[in-house]
This record gives sequence, C-alpha cells and structure tokens, in this order.
Amino acid sequence: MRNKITFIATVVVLLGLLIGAYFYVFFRGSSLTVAPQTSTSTLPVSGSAAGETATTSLVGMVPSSSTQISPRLLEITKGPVAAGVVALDVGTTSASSSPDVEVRFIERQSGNVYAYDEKTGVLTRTSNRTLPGIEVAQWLPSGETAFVSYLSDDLSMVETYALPASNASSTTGFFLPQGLADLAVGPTQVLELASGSDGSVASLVHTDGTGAVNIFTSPLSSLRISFLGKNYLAFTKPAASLPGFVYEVSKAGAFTRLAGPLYGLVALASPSGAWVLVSYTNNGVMGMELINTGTGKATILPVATVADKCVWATDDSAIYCGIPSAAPTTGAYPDDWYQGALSFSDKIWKIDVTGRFAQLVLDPSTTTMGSLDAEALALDPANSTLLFVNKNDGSLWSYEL
Amino acid sequence: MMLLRAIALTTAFSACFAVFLVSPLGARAQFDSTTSTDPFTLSLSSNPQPYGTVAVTPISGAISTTNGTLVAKVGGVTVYSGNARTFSVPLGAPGAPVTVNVTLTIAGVPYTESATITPQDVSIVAEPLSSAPPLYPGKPLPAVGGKVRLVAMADLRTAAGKRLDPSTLAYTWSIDDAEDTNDSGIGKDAIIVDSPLSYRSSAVSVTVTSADGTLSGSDMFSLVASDPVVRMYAQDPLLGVLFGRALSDTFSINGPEASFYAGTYSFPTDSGAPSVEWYVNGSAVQNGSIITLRPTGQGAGSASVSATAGTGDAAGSSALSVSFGSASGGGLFGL
Repeated sequence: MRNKITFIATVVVLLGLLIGAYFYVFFRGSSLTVAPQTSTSTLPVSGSAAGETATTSLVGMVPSSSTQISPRLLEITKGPVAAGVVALDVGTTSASSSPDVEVRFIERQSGNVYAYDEKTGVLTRTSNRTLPGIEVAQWLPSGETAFVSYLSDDLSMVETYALPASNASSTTGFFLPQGLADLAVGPTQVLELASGSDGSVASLVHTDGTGAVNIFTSPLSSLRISFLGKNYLAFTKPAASLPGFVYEVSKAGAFTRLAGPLYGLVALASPSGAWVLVSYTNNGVMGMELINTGTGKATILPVATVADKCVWATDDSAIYCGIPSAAPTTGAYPDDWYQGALSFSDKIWKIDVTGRFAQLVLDPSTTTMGSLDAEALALDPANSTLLFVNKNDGSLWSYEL
Repeated sequence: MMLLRAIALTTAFSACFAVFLVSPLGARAQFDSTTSTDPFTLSLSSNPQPYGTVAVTPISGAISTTNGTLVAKVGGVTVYSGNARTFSVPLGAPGAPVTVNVTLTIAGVPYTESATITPQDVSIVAEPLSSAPPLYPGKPLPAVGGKVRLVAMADLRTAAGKRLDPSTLAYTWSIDDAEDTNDSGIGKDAIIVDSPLSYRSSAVSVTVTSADGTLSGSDMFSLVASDPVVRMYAQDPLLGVLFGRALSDTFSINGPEASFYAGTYSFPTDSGAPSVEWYVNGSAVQNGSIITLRPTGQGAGSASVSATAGTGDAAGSSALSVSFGSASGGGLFGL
C-alpha cells in the first residue's frame, strides 16, 4: 500500500514538472535580446585587390524582372540597385530608328553587375563578383567599370573599388585609396579628392588607377568635386544653415568663385563646362539657378530641387530633374533629404537651356508606379532614354523621351 | 546836382548788382563753377564683391541732396536716374575696376563726382568640426560646445587682372570686433574658433590685404551653433546601412534579428567621436554605433529601442517602438 502511494505521488510530481516545463518553453512571453557584438564583418567582401577573378559559371541570362507601366515608362528591376547607373547606345537597326539602349546597374545586395537591353527586354548578369552593401556607383561613360563606394567593416571608413562590369573583361578590379572624400569619373580619367584637417588635395588618375598626378590643393577640407569641361568644379559640402560656394578650378589650381554665398548650395556641371546648375535654399524654400561660366551671369529657374536629383543632356541642351511636387517649407534642404529624414514626391521636368523654358515630362501620379523620389538620374548619349532610381525602394526605371 | 549824380550812380550800381546776383553769371560766381570741386562724395555701403552690386550713396556737408536729382553712369550706360538717394552699381570680375560717374543736380545746378570701385573676392567658409556618418554628402552644423574652422577664400587681382597668390596675402581676423592677432598674418587663411553658446552668435570677420597694401577685400560671417541630431537606420547584412530612410516611430522585426545603426550629426569631435549608448525598454544594454536585436519567446511583442549620443554638453537621441513575433503560435507545442 505504501509503495503504491509513493508511486502515485512520484508520477504526479513528474507530470507536474513536465507540464510546467511545457508551458515555460512554449508559452513564455516574447522579448528582445541583444546579440553579442562581433568583431568580424557581417558584410562578405569579394576577394582582395588586383588579380582577383570570378567564376563565370553563374554569369548569363536571368529572367527579366522588368514591368512595362506605360508605353514609355518601364520598371527595369525592383532592385534595390546601387545609386548610379549608366546607359549605353549599342547601335541602331536603321538610321531613322532610335538607338538601342543598354542599361548597366549593380544589384545592391550582391554587387553583381547586370545589363538590360531596352529593345529586347533581356536582362543579363555580366559580373558575379560579390561585393554587397554598395552605397554609390559612378560609371565610366563606356560602361566598362563602375567606381563603387561602400563602408568598411566597422562602418567608420569609406572604401572605393573599381568594379569591372564584366567577368570577361581584361580589366581587373582594384581598390582606390581608403577614405577618399570624393570622386569624379570622366571619360578617360578619374578625379580623386583626399581631405584632412588642414585642407584637400585633388589628384587625377587614369581609369586603371595608374599615373596619379596632383592637380590642385585647397585650404578647404569639406569639398565635393567634378569635371568642368577642361577644368574642374569644386563646391563646399552643403548644409541648409551654412552659406556655400562653388568654384571653377583651373588646371593651375586657381579657385574662381562662380556662385555663393548661397545656403544649402549644391552644384552640377554641364558636360562641356559651359554651365553650372546650382540649387540652394532660402528660408526653407528651394531655389535653382543656371550659371554661365563664361560670363558669370546667373539665370533663376522656374523650378527647384536639389541639384543631385538632376542630370545634364550630353550636349548641354537640357537638364532633367526630379522636382518635388510640394516640398515642406519646414524642411532643411538638402540636409533632411540626405539624412533620410524626409522623402520627396517628384515629377520629372525638363529644363530646356536653349529655349529657356521648363516642361513637364513625367507625372508619376498619372501612372501606377507610386510615389517617386528620384535620384541617380542618367541619360544615354543620344538623350533618348532617361534612367532614374526611386530612392523610396531602390527600384530602377527608364523613360523613353 | 552832385547829390543827384550820387543817387543816380548808387541806383545804377544797385540795379546792376541785383541783376548780377540773379543772373547765371552771379550764381556761378557764388559757387565757383558749374561743376563744383567736390561738393559731395560717394560712399560705398558695403565691401564690393565681384559679380554682385554695391550700394552707392551721395553724401555732402555743403549742399542738401534731398531735393536733388541724380544720374549715374557706368561706361556711358545709365545705371540710375532719379531722386538723389542710394543706388546700386553692378560689378564684374575680381580686380576689374568699375568707374561710376555721378551727376547730382540741385536747383538746376549740376555737380559731378566719380568713383572707381575695384571688387575683390573674399569669402569666409565655415567648416564645423562636427560629426557626420561616412559618405554623408553634406556638411554637419556648428556644434554646441564645439569648434568651427573658418577659411578665408581670397581672390585678389590687380587692375590688369593678375591674380595674387593667396599665400602671400595678409589676413587680419576679428572675432566679435576684437582683432585676433595670434591667428592673423601672412598666409594665415584659416582659424579655429569656439562655437557660440546656444541662442547666441559670434561675428567673425577677415580683411585680406596684398603685400603692398594697395588691394584689399573683406568678409564677415555670423556663427550660430546648432543642436546635434541622432538618426537611426536599419543595417542589412547584404544591403548595408540604409541611409536613405531614417527610422522613426515604429519598426517591425520580421526575421530572426535586426540591426540598427545610429548616425550622429553635428556633435563636437574635437575630443573624439561621440559615444552612443543603446537602451531597450529604458535599460542601457550596449555601447557603440551598431546594435543587433533578436526576438525571443512566443507570441507578439514590442519594445522601445533608443540610441543616445553625447559629447560634453551636446546630447541627442532617437527612439523607436519595435514590434516582433506573431500573435499566433499558441497551439500544441507552439504549432
């Protein structure tokens, strides 16, 4: 009898423990825990420097992800793509037809390079080099190489890498100096800017990274640079509540002020260097003007945006911009946009430099594409196709002009 | 008879004198000439900057300009015509002299004066020694309790258009009207100043002079400090930090974990980068710019996540309400 009671009690206790454990494991409340910090990078980086080669087994045609929204508007890929694309004219079928445009872009999560043929709708992966986390890409006009920028493992430094567009390319990738303050890519040369506490030094290198030559120095340490025809353009990094300036820098390194002081100044040079588009902010309201570099005369434009949201036509005849429909006057521009604190709802406008008028090109609200915050605008050499990335989701779009 | 002759002579003399007084001849004689020898001067109201305009004001202590009319010409082209008052003159390139010829007419009497204005380009550029994430394309703002580097960009040219080497020019800096002799001198084109206190401003000015003292230009800058800002961004293991969208209000963790990056803007950096501390539900959990959070347990839940950064007196924070898990999963063995 006694043994029987002991046995039953033991079973009851064990059952109670099992039931308690069951509820503890499967019905305890949810919470957040902090993962331990690791010193290793969470971003896999492709190989090392020069000499790397990638396998070709994964390169080839992939299913097209493009979506035709309207006869002229095409979503090439939902992305996200790295900000910075290039469009090439790969030849025409006849003299009277528009050029066949090939768009090259980089998939942000992998660093793979893709080429999209506008005419055939075929999407091809041309490079499977793995380089995730690319923030910005600047392409050679030939489309052979993209100079990509991303953050180092500890997110404290900028890394810049020359990424060949094709695995089959004879060009190997290579790293540019670490921590570059800015970079500008021309047809045959690359302009690098290194900055320190006492100023900046700009160097010109060949597109293969060789032959670096110092071009100019400046006591300014917070600059952005680009080519301006045969000279160079330098402007102070913008801030909404600080006056900014834009300068033409001669080959001898002399700085000549073109515009400023203007708050929030951002500048965009025309391909020939004859014009500079300048955007600025005045009491929370954005403005834009066109500077003739020959005469210094400024013409105020009827539309306004941040100049980073614009692209020049290859013949200087026009500028295409993403113009916010109703930018809040309480915003600090371009700071809030740069910091991701606000996004714009854009329409695409064309500013005709020769004819001196502005023309609406694309109103996204009349399509099914949703809200557009345009960045990384690009044009093919024939000015027949406009490309842009939607900053809201990293999708890539083309519009036939 | 002699009396009559005297009266006649006196009357004739008086008549002639009266005619003389009211005749133009008399007026000219009173003011020496139709174009007076500097009865008025031209005052420039601001340091002339290239490609801008300069305000010119006629000033005189000898004649009243109030009721006068003025015509100003530059290169034979009229730039102003109207009441005698301040007018604007357009300027050209640095070192390119602009001569303005002014004719001031008062009571029908014209007076002329001319002035040659040679604009020289001097601009102060502010470079705050403040924080911003790498790859940030803009410039941070002057930090409370921080420092700002001010650079004078000088483009001084002779009338012949020859540009002077900025390193050979003399820079005289002043802060709130007090000359900073320690930071002034030849080639001293940059200084570092303390940011003013909150809701205050500092006036910094610089005068740049050529070695021979014949050319000079100046500029003034009003320095104001700003509050620092912390912005939280999602960090994806493949996409990197998503700087395009600063997180605010709510965030949903849909996978096994989520990482966040705290971007610090406009914190002082003269004593190093700002330190970031993370809080979950009000409890400090980790330091550093990145945090990775993992949902545990069953069911849906939420937590407050915030990042606080500080350096000296400058502090800022950003907070999110993070949701995770799912409401289902209450069946047998969590299925």
